[in-house]
Amino acid sequence: MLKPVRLKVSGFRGFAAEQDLRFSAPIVLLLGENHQGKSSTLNAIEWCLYGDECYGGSSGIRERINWEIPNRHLSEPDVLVELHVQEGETAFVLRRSLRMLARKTKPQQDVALGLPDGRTLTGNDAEQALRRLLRTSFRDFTTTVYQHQEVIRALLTDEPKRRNDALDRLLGLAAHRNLVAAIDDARLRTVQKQVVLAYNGFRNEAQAALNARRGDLLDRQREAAQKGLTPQDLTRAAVLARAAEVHAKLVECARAIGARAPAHSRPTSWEDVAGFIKWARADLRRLSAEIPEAKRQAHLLSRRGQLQRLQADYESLQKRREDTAKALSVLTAGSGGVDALTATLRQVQHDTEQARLTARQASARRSLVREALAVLEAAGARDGVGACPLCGNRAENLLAHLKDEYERATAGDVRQAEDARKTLEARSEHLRETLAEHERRTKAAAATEAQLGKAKADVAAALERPLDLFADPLALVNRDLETIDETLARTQEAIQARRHLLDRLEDDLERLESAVHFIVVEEKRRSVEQIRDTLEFRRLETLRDDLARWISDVESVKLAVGRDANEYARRKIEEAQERIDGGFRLLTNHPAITGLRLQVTADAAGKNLYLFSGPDGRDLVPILSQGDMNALALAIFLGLSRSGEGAGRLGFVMLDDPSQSLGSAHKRQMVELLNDFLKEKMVIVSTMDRELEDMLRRLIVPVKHVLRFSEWSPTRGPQIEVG
Amino acid sequence: MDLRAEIEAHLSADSPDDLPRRRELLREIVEAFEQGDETRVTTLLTQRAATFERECATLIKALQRYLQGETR
Repeated sequence: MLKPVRLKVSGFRGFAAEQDLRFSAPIVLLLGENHQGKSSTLNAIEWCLYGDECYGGSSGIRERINWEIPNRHLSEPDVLVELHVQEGETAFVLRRSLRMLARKTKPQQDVALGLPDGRTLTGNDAEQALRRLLRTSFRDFTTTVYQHQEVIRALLTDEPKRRNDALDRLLGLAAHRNLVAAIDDARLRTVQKQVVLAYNGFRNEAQAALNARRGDLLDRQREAAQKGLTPQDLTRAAVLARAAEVHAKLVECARAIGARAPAHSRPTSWEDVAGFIKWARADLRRLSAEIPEAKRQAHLLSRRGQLQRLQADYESLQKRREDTAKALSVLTAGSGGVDALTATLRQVQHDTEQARLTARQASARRSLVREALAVLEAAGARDGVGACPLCGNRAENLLAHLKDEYERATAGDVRQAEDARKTLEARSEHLRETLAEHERRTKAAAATEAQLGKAKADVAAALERPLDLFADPLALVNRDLETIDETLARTQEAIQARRHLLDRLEDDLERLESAVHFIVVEEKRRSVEQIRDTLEFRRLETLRDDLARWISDVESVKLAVGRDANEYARRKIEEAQERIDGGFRLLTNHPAITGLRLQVTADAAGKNLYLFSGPDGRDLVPILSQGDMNALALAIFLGLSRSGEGAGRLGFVMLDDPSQSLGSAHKRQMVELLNDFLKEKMVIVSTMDRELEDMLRRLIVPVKHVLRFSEWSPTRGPQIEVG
Repeated sequence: MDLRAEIEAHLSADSPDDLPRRRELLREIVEAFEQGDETRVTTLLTQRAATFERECATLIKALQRYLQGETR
């Protein structure tokens, strides 16, 4: 079996300058703290054997997705890993390198395999020869040769789903599990549900539209039946024929009326019918307006109106004349007529003049006496005693007494004269007004008479005949009005006859329109009904079916992935069952665990479901500690690596940090297990665990080769000492 | 390891036409997986599903326009 004997490495991940490591014992211990290059050593062996397969998404190892091979701290990070493997005396040298040709370009990878006969194969030949030499796939390598520390870490979880995931990875089924998860993440059933929902939504919408059209159609059917239309009338051809008939009637009607013929010709296609109905209606309105009797009727109505206005005016003037004459007569009767009024006025005016004179004289006398009394008073005729000539009484101050008496006596005369004057002046004014009223009424009567004359002349002009003095215009107008009314009655009959024709044509148009409406709705119903025959709907159905088939295909692929993973897991577990059981019991030394049976089934999604049970069939997980789970991972790994053909020709295993959660007892048992394992295969152990290191140094029986890693720096890499 | 060949052996079919189609789909899925990781597979599937969804929406919109035009 092939075992590594030497590893030369430079520029690979944590390595910088070239390191030449010898693996010259059945067990090699890589010791040192974290980040000193131990894992890089194991990775270098792995990369040298499997190249690109061991990183990226297809590796199935999540941590390897963005893995970098070259040491990122070097300015010229060319990578070289040279692995010497030996089987007995036969040696092979595998050299894999990566050269950075230019920045930002993909580095060039070269591989060379040195054969025992001295030949060296390169490129694809070397890769193929290497596969034949190893006889193990990368997946089997990860499950039977290289125990990654991530697998143990992932297994130490309480969550069943994550534990199943870790076990899949332990069995090399990470790619399967990742594929199933990737398919689930696409949530294709949700998309399908939405598409089906949209499709059904549209179908419902179309059905609702169809129901609405059916309802419309029933209404139109009812309307058509009410208008006397039969099913035979409700076709495009029948409508066209009926439209032609209506057009012919319209032409005939125009001719009969003597009106202008319709400007449009009869419709020749279905598309013209709606337009025809529109303009035919306009023509009916025009013909109705152009009926000759209607024109005559309009003329007669206008003349009747004119005569009725003249009649009313004349009657009004007559009434006014009567009223004016009556008022004048009343005035004359009250005042005695114009002549009597004039005479009375003259007399009153004369009396008024006399009254004015008397008043003036009385006033003048009064002024004179006042003046005389004032002279006497000025001349000192005061205090004179004597008899008053006015009242006859003796007065002590006669002058003052006379003054008072005179004032009293003359004041009455002047007032009386003024009153008489005023009364006469008022009467005079009244008489003048009465005379003016006489004049006004007389003039009004004359004006009314003149208007009556003009009205009579207007009637004569309207009647177009002269009227002699004795002709009664009202009687003549009444006679003409009667004649007009008789003519109007006859005209109305003629108009009605014409209109009846037009009304029948309007009825024809309504029936035509009703038939058109029915056909339009019927055709809409049919087109909605036929929407399922459209290219778009058929494409939609195809699309829905294609999507369902595609999703079914994806599900089928997912199931196949699950079945493959399940079958592989079953086979592997079956092969290693006994060794896993033995290894686990040895590692845990658990008094309650007398046996372990590892079974694999599939969950509803097709993912592997691992069950750990004891001999009694009861689930062991609830009683397993973290250390037990770590032990379980080691037991499975070591069991798989010693069973079947998984490891191919590779006679070694690599354990990376195998004691993560192991207690002292577990570690002790692990060393025992390794002692047993070393009887068959070589072991490379990487650990930072001092207790484990101590146990390995003390208790491992075969010769040990120890490499201590320390003083790692980005540009130098690790310092590696032997021993 | 030929992942595709292994899985292909487990592909089932309801009709004779299914298998070649499913093989081709598996090839695409595994190729996407091997070229990148599982997110590339998810992207491949979601993009294809979205294409279906988009075309379906376009067709329904066209049919709705047709329906509205006819029922107005």
